[in-house]
Amino acid sequence: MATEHQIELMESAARAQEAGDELRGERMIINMGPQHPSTHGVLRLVLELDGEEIINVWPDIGFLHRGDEKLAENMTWTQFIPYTDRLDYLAPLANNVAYAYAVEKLLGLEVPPRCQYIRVVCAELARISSHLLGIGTFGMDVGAITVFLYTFKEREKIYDLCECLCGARFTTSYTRIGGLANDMPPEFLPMLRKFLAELPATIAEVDTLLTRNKIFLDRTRDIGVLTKEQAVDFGITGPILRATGIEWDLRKAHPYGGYEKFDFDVPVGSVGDCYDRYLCRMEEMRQSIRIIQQAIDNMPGGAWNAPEAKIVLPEKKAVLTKMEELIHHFINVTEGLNAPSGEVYFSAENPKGELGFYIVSRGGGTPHRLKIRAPSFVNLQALPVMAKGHMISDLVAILASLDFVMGECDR
Amino acid sequence: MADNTVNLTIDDKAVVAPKGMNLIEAAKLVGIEIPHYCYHPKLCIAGNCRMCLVDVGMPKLGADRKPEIGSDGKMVVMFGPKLVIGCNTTVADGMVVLTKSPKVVKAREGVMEFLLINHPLDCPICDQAGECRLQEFSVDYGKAESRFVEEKVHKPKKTALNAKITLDDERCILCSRCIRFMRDVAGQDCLGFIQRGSHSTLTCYLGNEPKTNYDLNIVDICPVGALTSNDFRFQQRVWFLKQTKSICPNCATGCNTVIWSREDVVYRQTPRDNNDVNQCWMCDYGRINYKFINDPHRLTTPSVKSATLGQRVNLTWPEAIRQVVDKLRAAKRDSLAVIGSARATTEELYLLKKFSPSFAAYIPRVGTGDNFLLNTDRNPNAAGAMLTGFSSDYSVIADGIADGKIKTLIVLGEDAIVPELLAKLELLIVLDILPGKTTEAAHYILPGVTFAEKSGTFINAKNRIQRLNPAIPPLVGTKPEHLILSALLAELGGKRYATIQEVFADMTRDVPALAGLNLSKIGDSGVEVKS
Amino acid sequence: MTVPVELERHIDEIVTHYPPDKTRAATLWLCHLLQEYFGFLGDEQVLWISNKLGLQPINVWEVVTFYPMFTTKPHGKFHVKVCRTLSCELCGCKNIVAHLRKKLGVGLDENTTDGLFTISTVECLALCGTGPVMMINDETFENLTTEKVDAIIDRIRTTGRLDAQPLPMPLAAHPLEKRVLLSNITKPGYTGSLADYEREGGYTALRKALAMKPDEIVAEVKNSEIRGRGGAGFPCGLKWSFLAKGTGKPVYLVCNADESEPGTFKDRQLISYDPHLLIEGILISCHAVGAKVAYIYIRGEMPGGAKILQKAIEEARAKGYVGNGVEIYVHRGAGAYICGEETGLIESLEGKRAYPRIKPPFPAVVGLFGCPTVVNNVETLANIPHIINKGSTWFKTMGVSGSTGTRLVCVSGPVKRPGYYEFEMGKLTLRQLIFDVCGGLKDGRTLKGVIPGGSSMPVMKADQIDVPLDFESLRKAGTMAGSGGIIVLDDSVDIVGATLNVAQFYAHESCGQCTPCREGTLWMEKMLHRIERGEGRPLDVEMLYEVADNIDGKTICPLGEAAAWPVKAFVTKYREEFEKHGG
Repeated sequence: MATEHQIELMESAARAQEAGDELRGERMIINMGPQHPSTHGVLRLVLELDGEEIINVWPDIGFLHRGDEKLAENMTWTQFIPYTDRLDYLAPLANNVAYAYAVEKLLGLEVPPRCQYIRVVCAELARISSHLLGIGTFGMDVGAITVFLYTFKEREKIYDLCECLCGARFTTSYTRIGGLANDMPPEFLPMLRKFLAELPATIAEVDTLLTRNKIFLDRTRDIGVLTKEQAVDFGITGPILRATGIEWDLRKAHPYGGYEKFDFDVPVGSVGDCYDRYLCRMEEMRQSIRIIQQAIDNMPGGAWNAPEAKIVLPEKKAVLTKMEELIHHFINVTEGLNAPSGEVYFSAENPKGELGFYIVSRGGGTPHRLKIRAPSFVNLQALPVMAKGHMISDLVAILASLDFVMGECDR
Repeated sequence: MADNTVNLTIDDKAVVAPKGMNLIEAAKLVGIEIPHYCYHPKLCIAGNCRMCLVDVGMPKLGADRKPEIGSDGKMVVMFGPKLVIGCNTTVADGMVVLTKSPKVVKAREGVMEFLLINHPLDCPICDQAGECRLQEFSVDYGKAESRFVEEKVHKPKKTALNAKITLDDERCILCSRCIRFMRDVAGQDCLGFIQRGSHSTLTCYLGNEPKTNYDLNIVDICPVGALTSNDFRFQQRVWFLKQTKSICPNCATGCNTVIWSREDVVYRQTPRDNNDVNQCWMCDYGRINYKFINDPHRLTTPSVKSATLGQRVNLTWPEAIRQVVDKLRAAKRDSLAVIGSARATTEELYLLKKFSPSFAAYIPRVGTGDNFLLNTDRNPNAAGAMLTGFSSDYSVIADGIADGKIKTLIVLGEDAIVPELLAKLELLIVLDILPGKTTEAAHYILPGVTFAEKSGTFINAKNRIQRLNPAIPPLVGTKPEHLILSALLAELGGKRYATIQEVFADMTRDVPALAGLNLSKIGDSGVEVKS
Repeated sequence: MTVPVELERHIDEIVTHYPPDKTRAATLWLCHLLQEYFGFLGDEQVLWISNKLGLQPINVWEVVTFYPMFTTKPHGKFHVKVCRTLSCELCGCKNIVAHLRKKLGVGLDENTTDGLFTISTVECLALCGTGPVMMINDETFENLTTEKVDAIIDRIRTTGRLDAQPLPMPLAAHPLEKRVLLSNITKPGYTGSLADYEREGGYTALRKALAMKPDEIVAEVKNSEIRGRGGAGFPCGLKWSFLAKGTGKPVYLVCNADESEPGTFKDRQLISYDPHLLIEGILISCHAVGAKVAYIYIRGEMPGGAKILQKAIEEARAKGYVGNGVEIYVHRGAGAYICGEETGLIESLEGKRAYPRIKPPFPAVVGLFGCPTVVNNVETLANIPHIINKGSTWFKTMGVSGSTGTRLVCVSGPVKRPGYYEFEMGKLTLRQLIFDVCGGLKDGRTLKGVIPGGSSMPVMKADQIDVPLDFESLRKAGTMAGSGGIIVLDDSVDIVGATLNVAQFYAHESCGQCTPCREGTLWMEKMLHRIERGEGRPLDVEMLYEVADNIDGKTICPLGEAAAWPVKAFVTKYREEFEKHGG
């Protein structure tokens, strides 16, 4: 909550003061959220308003805090994977992938090419899914309700793809340490190809509806501007950072998981306003389609799990009929795989920004400390700077353009 | 180099080991594990599992009988042509031991593979899972894949070795620990191997089953699930169990134990290492005697025998304390006696004694002992009772009740005075855990806790004070006795003790033998006190 | 169940052969005697023995189930035991077994309905040169054919009894032989009696030795450089010098007459034809090492040999050689190859399962009954009188450096003249032995390989047999002289089958104490079975080798090596045959 602040006299307030006592306005402190259709999740904002104008905004987070990082200390590496689904729950596959790579970095384990490519497909699908939602809700928040329906129709197809791939629409828990839960089923690739064929049309439709729409432009241009310096100071990552004009994408800057083999562009904005952020996300979706297409066209065959029999669970048939496999399955599941002691940090370019895992291991099957660098947590810091001086209705647009997820922010 | 130690190197770590120590123990000194099955520090060496094979070399001596130095400036070490077993190799000056060389790694993989080819796929139903050395060493030292495609050797499964133990011969890895224990420690040579080769099978002769009071120790020392305790069979997976260090309350030996519990239920007890008390063994009688902790008949609420209603009425704790205190205030001090149990902790007895300096006795308890662990004195804390001023002769109190001199009696955990005498009392206050004749006769019942639910100390027959730790919280409705007693004492004008540490601190002042001690100093192994 | 008075008296006498606080050692004898009388060892017999010897029933039960000669259920009146090990299989023992089964109408280890016969297969009976062989109860039948078998069985059926079989005639010497140990056996009219032995100069050495100091005898034996003839080839004099002195405990000498290495049948000849040579050797050795008691541990399948030795000991006692400060006792084994290993033998002598001991401590320090003990092979001890008589320098004129003296070798398999021979060590190659002495292979056959020292030793291919028969040469060639049992394989031999036969032997004989041998030997047998049936896979050859390698060097006793080396050698040198057998 706000403590004593210096109250700056804004222009309107000055005018009001000039106008005399009749128009002398009081600063209002009102509460927005945690339950609010436009706060994108359980976010509470304390607004200090002068009429319509935002003097200050204090985000009050923590309503979705579930103690993930502490929970991680009491469970095995593999048991934590479902918890990663629930971080950025709009792109669960991307979180699964990032966590798997982080633990594999600790173990010094390389996954085979097929696994890498499948994970790339997953991460990009997650990006598309997340941006579709971000743009859809953005449109809806500023009044373009139809856009929401169009994007969600495509998202539904992504959920169907997830269900085909790993059995769950939403909480995928698809990756495993050293590989994947299962290989792509034979129905998956045809389904994916069909989806990729249909998606550009929807993106084009959304583009037509929004990009040159006067109302949309008025609502978003020069609203919520974030400068490059501010972005770097706050540690912003993801589309928000790139919208300010800084070309920084972890898939290009520190390639991981085979991304160096793919041909794609990184959209960069110039102004850093809501409109730029919208444009970045739209273009990222188009680039993701490119990446997925390359991945499925060049999908390697072979194993989809690392050949590390002490890390990866043996196949079920062997577990039920062979002694060593039964024992290894048993110990792997009950005590966790034996990680070496050490510390690693691994981060991935998630739809919302840089999702990082800082893992401290003291050896054994459970982490000693698992710190999650959540992009939404960092990005949300910039909200006060971006919102100051704007009106409440602009705040809605700014929040939508930040596209954060409280699950990730609060953990 | 002192006269009784030896310098050697294990995996490039310098080790100073006592003369005569074997390599497994020497490696433990520097935190290196040499895996083993048949070796046990308290049993004779068998050397049959071959899991502890290590590479041992001695410095090459030149013609001058001094170690040769090689071209790299280091001592030239001659390694033996074969690996040797660590359990049967004694440390020697200048010895170089490798426990992780490729030869050793391969040997361990080989032995693990051999142990597993005929092993049944019982993990999902085997009690040993979670504390099974076959599992642990397979993951740590063995290969992850099986290449055995033949038919496994089949042997008798799930046979009753005796009423307490189930034997599964397919799981047995023939380490012979149980045979050596029964023969050399328990004193009944009844187990052996029959048949030959891969068909060797552990058994006992029909009619000559293990019949000692120490049989269940073979379940502890069996590295796999071949010997399992029927008492614990299928009760709980061990990784769910919390381990609490405690002391067995069944006789004056005071074997060091571990109580295994989960969510307020005790599932089993096992012995704990203490070379001054019980080495690493405990007797079956003490081991099995824990079921009373979770007995459904436990007393769970204070109560008063209502004269008007003619029946027992439950009270809340504050009300019970208040009523008891009122009654005690009215009672004459010199007609107040206390009977403390020598199964109670020293702290409880110390507090109890404050109620009656003149009439305080405990009930001696004698049973058959053996010349190993079971003491004829079946009270765990007779020494504690005596130190805190309790007499072993309770007939004085019984007589006092009979001729009306004693009108008020507080009983802590005993059922010794006959109901006819108890009926003569004006005020009988009983602290106990289970109903009995005394609780039936009691005016006030204040439910206490078992040894598994409290902190406290016992002093054993060799004057060793040892510490109890609570494994589970007091059963709902009960209170640890020291809290009950100190509440009563406080209301009667005495000191209010908030914690057991405070009780102990006062006790060390009033009992000279315990001077200078505290519960931390007693630690896990206990401390010898002067008598 | 009542034990007749006579028998109990005999038993009581046997018990006195052992220290009064070590009566457990009499367990094997008591099992033999009670089984002889009752036909089997059941609950009552076990309890009687354990009572008699102050043991727990499990102690006796462990022993009864360990040794195959003991049975817990009655056999037929005539127990037909056919040898199934390699040399006999090469001579066609499988035919004999099949024929017997058909003739008697029973399966293996089943009793005929009239209760007369049981057929079993047993492991090597140390009669390899005259295979196929069988024993019926205590009698031996060699050079079997189906016709002979018919005759034997029919005779038993008609007469209702088993005739005693005489010893075969000793083999005449081949011109290339140098007979020292066997010098007496073909002398006309030689019966092996003490009178005959002394007529030929026997017991002179004993008298000479008794006049020498023990250290002097040890020095002579050391100087002769004689190496053990049992299989390990350890210098005998050196072994004697390891005996712990000044312990205050009695010293024991044990003669290892447990000849069980497949392909070996030489000690049998010494025992059967010239027992006093061995007795004299034992007496001299006892004097050398300060032993007052010597045990001859003779394998249970040589009951005839045990009787011959017992008689010879009594003859020597009558002459005052035995019983005059040195006692010699015969101790019968009960069918375990592992008793040929010195500490396994000692455990068996002590009345337990023959589990070899971990070393250190060595038998020279802690051996039989915890006392310093030396264990020597029959042939080694048979050399001692000769060394004392003619001196160590004379001894060294025979053989080659590093392998002095003569050696008894046994040849079995498809050669024209299998049998036992005595040569100076190193003066003859394997090739010369097979082709010049034994007449080469049967007509139309070519050589495939030779096992040079008992089945434990790595096989030599047909082009590797130009190696002299001495310890060092054989070792350099990648094999060993071993027990001197030479098994010849010709091109009719299926190597996979031969390997399987050998693997079955070791799996059956493994005592089961230590993990690699116990599990690994049976695993190799199962794998080879599968390969032989045609269900082998390409990776099985590598796996066989690796499993054998995992046993080699990791076990308590050399049975691990003995089981591993043949498999490793066969699989390496005849890989194509294994691959062809498989899928």
